[in-house]
Amino acid sequence: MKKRLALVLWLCCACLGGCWDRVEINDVALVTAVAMDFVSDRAVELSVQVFVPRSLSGGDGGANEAMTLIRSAEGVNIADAMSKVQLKIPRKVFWGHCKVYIYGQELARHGLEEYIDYYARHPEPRNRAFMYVSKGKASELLKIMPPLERYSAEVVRKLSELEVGLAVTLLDLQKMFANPTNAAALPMIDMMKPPKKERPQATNPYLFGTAVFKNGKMIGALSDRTTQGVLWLRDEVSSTTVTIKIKDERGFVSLNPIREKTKLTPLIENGKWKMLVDIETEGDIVQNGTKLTLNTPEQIARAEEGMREDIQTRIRLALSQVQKEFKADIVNFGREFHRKYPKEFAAVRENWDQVFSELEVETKIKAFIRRPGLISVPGGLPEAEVQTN
Amino acid sequence: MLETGKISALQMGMIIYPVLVSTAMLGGPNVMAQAARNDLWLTPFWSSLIGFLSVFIAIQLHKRFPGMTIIEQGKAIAGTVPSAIMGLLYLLVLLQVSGVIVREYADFIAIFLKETPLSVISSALIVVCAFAVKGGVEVLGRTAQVFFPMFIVPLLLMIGLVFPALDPGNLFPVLDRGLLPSIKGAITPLGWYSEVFLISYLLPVLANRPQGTKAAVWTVAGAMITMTIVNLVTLFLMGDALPNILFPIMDTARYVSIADFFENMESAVMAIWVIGAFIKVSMFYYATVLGTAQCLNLTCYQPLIWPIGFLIVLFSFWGIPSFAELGAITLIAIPAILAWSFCFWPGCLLLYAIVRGKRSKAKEVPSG
Repeated sequence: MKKRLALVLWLCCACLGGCWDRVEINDVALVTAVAMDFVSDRAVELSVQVFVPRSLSGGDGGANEAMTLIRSAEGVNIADAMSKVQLKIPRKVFWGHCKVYIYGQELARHGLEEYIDYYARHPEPRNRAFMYVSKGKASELLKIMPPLERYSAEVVRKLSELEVGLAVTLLDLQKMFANPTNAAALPMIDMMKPPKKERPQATNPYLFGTAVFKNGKMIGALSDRTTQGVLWLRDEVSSTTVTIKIKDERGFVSLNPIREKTKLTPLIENGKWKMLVDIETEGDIVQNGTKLTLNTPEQIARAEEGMREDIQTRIRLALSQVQKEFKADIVNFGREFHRKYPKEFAAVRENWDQVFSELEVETKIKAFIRRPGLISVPGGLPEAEVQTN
Repeated sequence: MLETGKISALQMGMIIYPVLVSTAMLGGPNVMAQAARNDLWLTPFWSSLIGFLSVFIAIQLHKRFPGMTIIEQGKAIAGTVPSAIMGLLYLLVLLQVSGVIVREYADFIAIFLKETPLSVISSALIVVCAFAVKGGVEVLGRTAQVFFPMFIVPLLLMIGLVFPALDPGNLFPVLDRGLLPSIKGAITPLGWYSEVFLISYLLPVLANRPQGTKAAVWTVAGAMITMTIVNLVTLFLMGDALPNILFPIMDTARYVSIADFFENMESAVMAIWVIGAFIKVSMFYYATVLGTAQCLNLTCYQPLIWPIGFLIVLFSFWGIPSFAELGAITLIAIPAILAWSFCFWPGCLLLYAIVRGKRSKAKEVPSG
């Protein structure tokens, strides 16, 4: 009898779930993106984009029904603003699925450091979430209803995962702010202008450059083309197309580098600091607008020369801005010197920006063109005009 | 004899291994990185030295006094009254350390279960551990054996999956500030490694005693290798940010992302941590209960289980108002207490026994 009673009691206990931290899926609001904008020195505006689950089950809900809703609130800091946002959302806000964090440019210029703490400290946000700076007001980007993806955060996240531009995660940003060079870089996003007749919201955000930070404050922006140079230096190029001009030829050849490896070798010789940049890249021809067939070794060599020059120009362009204008080491030169010359670096650590800006950079590029694609002569060119050598 | 069960040397190793590494699985790399920075890969080596020393002391004591735990050995070496005082002090240390371990466990779980009262989290663990202790050393050995793969496999899986995100360059510059930072970082792990001395409670119940030494040494070596690997992986992933991240291994698991859907492996790390904490607390719990029974010359230890479990829960609250306080305690005080009670004091006993030429009179016949 006693045993039976114990069994019944035990079964009752087993049926009782934990009650304190019970979370039902329909009690949480999944944040898909968050935007922060500058209001004043004592206030920040926080906007969250929350996924609306009903839009999924609606079936023929159609394109007009928004997949997300946006709620904003102002507060002295993110946690404060967040508590006010929560007042406007009937479900408990859950950060675990938020993969897009957008800082307004003005906020970025006033300093980001205090707006990272909340996300790094809170147990829900993911370290793999992507961070951005928006050109205009960040919250505007959330309101877009992109035609291709389900909501704007999805567009931005997918762009970053394509690795066409700089991709910086929350963990990367924490690392950047902890590193000794005090410089950081975040990708910038902007909204495309919608075609005239369509709804003004039917557009999508796109990556268009890099925001450069020093000591936690944004000090400038790099253009698209300059960003490419930075990516080459940071060894982060993955699927870019290089369009080159061959010397003494009309027209352009486009190559798609499929592999790229950048090696930074710091060097201190007689007190002179120097950075050797070794780049090895290879690509396939994806378009040939010249009259060359590009299927003899000599012509390929000329094209490879053009490829080298193009990459060289990109890097020079990037360095001229990053090194001379902004004096912000977002290309990890300081890290390399720190690794190879720890003592020497420690001595200049305080004024690394100055040393960095005066650093001599020597680039050595090896470019290879491996495959011609599917045709052997320039497509659409009369045979008589083709130059075979 | 109070304990009638028998375990194998392998089972002993599988009990002790989580005892050594489970705390380190939580904040270990962070704690070591704070002092050692990028030289933290060397730190486990320094701190494991005390582990080997503790093994040596435990084995030597056991050779002189086979079939006895440290409490009984204390009685045989120092006489009844001094050993009773020392024994009680020793048990107080075990209680306090168990309390801190339970608190570390509960505080970590509480980050995710915000609403659940801390007392419920720690009591739940203690209740489960109490059942294991009640079953005796055999149950402890078998649970450890069953859980061992569950402890190791998620860890290896995590390392494998996060591999593409690692940057070995973070290792450099190697030892740019000399060896001192890596030694400083070894202070806290010293405590973890000295815990290997708990084999003193397991050596008497080994079925195959000759293998005991080997198993103990391998356990310390295994723990050292595990910690080195874990330190390297977290350093390669987090670099300069590692000293700021409190639970690096959990964050490493969270960083795993394969093909957009295989993500958020932190539950695996939680499992490692819960299993590790279960074995670790059970072992400390068992040592406390058995030690108390031996100290008080009881004929069986089972009646002590629930009262001592209650005390452990209390000790997990006494004097620990916050995580900051817990951190301050675990950084210096606990390692000092552990090194004292698991290495220094037994070492003194051993020296005294050697000087006075003491051994147990009737040599026990080795069984198994």
